[in-house]
Amino acid sequence: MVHAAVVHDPIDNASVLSHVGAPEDGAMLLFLGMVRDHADGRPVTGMTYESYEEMATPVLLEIAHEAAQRIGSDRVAVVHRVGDLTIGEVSVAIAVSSPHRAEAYDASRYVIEEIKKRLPVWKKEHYSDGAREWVEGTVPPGAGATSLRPGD
Amino acid sequence: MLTRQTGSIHLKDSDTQHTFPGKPVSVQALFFAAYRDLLGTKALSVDLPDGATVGDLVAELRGRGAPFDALPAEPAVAVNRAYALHHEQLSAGDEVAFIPPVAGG
Repeated sequence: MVHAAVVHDPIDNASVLSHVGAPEDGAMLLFLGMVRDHADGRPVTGMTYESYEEMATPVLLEIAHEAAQRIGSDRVAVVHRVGDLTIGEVSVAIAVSSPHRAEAYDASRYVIEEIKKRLPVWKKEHYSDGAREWVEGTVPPGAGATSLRPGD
Repeated sequence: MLTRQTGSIHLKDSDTQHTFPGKPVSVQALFFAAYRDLLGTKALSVDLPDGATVGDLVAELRGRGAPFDALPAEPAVAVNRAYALHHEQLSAGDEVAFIPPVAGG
């Protein structure tokens, strides 16, 4: 089944995988996005994730459905965590299963790339010197001004 | 674009009472992450003239001076939890979220 959630507690990988898998599947993938200990050569000690939760949950579900539709499967699950995370903790988990590996890789990649383009989530890096900064992000498509306005 | 500007509001630093031609619409502006840090607030109720667009809301807020004028002139926004362009017209009770560049994953 297609599953998507934004959670505050640590992600249970097995529970994300439990949403996918079918007798006809020969491939199952679990992608984990993790908090790493550096950014552009600067030591990082942790990360705070924030979301516009009321919007992030439906957007995440939409992305999961799009990925599923792409490969003609209904076995895509994605969970994104928010709050304070330490090094090595999982911020996002994506599980996909399909009859063959190519589709599973494709759908998994699609989900993470779309998350980065349009999921309303932000992260603040904590550096070893005590400073904290919002990570530079991506402007979501279809969400700004436009030079072409009806009637102009 | 220019015709939209003719009805725009000119705010003064004082809390001047504004008069709108039509019935004003009240919308809820939400600020996240870097925008919330910048403004020191998560949410604001804003009254706009009837027929006002997202762009008018942005202009109204930026016209308030510091720190609002540090908001980008063309921020990404979501109206009622869906990404929207600045020419979208607002209705009373709309939730307009100012979305800093996203960085999930």
